[in-house]
Amino acid sequence: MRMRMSINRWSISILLTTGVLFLAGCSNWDGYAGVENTWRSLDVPVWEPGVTTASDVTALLGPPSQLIALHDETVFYYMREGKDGKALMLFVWNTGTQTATYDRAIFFFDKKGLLRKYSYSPEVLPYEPEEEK
Amino acid sequence: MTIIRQLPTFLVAASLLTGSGCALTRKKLNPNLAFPKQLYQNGITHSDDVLDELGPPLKMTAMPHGYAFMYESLYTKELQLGFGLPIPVIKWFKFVVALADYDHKVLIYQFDDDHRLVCSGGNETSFDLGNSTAIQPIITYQPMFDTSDVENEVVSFVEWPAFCLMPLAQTLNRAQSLDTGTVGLEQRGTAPQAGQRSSEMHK
Repeated sequence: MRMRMSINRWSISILLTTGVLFLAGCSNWDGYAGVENTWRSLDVPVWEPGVTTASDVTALLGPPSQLIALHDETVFYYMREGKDGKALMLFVWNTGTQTATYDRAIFFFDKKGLLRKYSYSPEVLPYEPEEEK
Repeated sequence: MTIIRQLPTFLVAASLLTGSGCALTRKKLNPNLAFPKQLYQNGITHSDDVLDELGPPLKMTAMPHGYAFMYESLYTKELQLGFGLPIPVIKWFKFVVALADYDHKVLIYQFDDDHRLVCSGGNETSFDLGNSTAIQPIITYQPMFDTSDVENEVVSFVEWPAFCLMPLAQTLNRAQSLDTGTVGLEQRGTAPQAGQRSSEMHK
């Protein structure tokens, strides 16, 4: 009888300890905000300063995230934000990390609307075109 | 023999004592920002050189006689240590001690109308957000630090109509707001009680 009680205590204890220590959960998530990063598409032409116009850029990339007025230039600023997270829950030890990455493109146009300079960010998000509705 | 008999109880107690939920939460914003390799010189360096090396800035603003770029990177960490006691009722709660800090990297470049560098600055600093204690139900996890003021979105895509719903003082300050990119730039984590935003009457 005493032996059986001891076995039961051991079983319960092992179950509890195992549950606390090893019952694990994990999750991951991602999300995007901002304009579609079409500038990463393989179909985007080579922009030519002095030749490419503001209309060419908006025709292909759509409206910019921001239009910034400088003294004698106009800036088209495109940005796509990507958030990626991972979490591990072990009861005893839980950890989670979220990373936000900003894929950016910027275009400077002169008074005539001709491209003077453009630049893409070193940070790149995968280009995933949305399906046409 | 006594030790072996007490071992199961010890294991459960140890699990409750040490296994009451410790957590490490990390958030990284634009983590790959690197300081430029080349030396930029005032009056000589062209904004194109900066764009070629660092890419588009995270924030940009027009200035009276030029414009400015800002690059930022942020890494926040919150560590929570939970302790439990194997006492009836109390065992369903954990005592939590939490610590938080963040690393902030920032680069600023100001250019004149001829796109030449007027001035620049860079800094990398760690800030201690403090520590905190709490009692929580044993299976919950609740962040104990409000880091939203340093994690605000770089671009608030749906912000333009929202300013109408802000407190009156903030709405009236909208024309000079540092969020719009037309009158200046602001580093993350800047306290709003001083400087340009002080007129917004933040508490």
